[in-house]
Amino acid sequence: MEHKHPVITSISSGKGGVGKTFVSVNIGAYLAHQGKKVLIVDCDLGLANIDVMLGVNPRFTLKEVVFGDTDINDVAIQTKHGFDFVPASSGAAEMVQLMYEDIEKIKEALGKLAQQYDLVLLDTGAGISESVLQFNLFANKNVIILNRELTSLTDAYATIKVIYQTFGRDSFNIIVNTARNEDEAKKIFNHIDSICNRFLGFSLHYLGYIVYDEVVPRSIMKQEVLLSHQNQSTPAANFASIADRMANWQ
Amino acid sequence: MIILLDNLSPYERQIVENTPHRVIDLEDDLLKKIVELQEENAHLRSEALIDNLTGLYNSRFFHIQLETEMARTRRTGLSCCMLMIDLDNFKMINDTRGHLEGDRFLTHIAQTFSQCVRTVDIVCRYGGDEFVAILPSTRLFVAIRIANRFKKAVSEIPGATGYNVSASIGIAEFTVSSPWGADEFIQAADSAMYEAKNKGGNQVSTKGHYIRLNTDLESVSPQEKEAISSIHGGAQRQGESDGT
Repeated sequence: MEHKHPVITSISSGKGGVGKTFVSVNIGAYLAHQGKKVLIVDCDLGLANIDVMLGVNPRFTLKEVVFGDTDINDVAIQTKHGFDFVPASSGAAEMVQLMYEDIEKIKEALGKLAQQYDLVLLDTGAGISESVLQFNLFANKNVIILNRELTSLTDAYATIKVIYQTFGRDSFNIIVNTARNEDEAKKIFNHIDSICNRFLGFSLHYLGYIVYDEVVPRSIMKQEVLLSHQNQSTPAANFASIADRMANWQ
Repeated sequence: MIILLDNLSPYERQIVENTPHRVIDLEDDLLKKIVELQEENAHLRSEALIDNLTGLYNSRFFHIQLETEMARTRRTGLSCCMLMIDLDNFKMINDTRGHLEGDRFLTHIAQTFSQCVRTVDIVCRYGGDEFVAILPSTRLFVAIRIANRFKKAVSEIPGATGYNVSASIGIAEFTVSSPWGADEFIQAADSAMYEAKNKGGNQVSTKGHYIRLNTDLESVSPQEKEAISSIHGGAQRQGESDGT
């Protein structure tokens, strides 16, 4: 088996409902289409939802890796969008309060599986639980998604601050989701960037924005990615631009 | 110097020529004294900081080093962990085989403990059959792994199973956001250790101060919140007003 040196990227937001999963899936689909070998991991261990967004019904999940003897290779499934996917289980109470050893077990399994891929996207849960922190530490690139809402900005900042204070990380890539236009996205980015500079002493990296468009909720409803049915839309172009930047990550 | 010497009387020359030797001799004596004093100081310090029986650091050193490591965590943001260890049923060895055998067993435990930790970790005998370790720049899940390694190693010490000796281990993690002082940190590890004992011994228990931000954003200061809210007249208000 070929051993790659994957770029492991965490996608977090602090606040829920900001669009982590939609962003992960669309970036994954675009880069898979470009010939990259991409793995998306649903790291929202208690309330997994990527399987719903993809319209798949997985046989095994990360729960069976933690509490059973299931091999992580048997959990990963191929999707019609070109990327592979590791599902988590939704509504499994025991997955919400994982012990450190359990998170460690998941990280070890993912570490092995990741060697078959160019890019691994870890779609973390909302909030700043220990597992969210651990997946951010496990990743070698940290992406934070935010939108124009004040609660989203505050939670994104809190996430950055806690990861910085807990692990000393000071390199974060920002995606502004559901922006009206590029100017507004830049304004939101500059605002959060100036606050990080002022209180934490470092700058953020602007990765891009996704414009608000009616095609997005329609795409989610249809359990599709923009690439497959709205590839001429502005959000699809925004995703392409973000994904192209990520493709250059080492 | 040569020109000067030529102008001196033989007596004066003799004095001048002998002077450097005397200075060197004096310097030599002084250096010897300094080295002697340093050695004596090091010996006294080691007497005060090393546990005689096991050769580990003693509790005095532990308290000094704990303050240093907590300060390091506050400065760097990297957590440190404390392992508090109490041997289960150790008294049986002292009572049935005598204190000399008990001491030998404690020395064996100390060696085992030192082998289970990393070179950066600070292992101390806290007193009696209690041991403690400070693990710098270490998260709880790593500390758990080290503790489990030690727990297993204790069960493999010759004679341990005969007396049913095992280790109850309490772990506490000190993060940059922990509100603890040194005493509270020790109490947390202590209480985790008692929890392990109360569960029947031969266990690892943990205590930590965890950040939970899902409902309240305690890590964001009022000044930071105010700064974030200052995104005036732009995206936020427009977005809220038209419901997008």
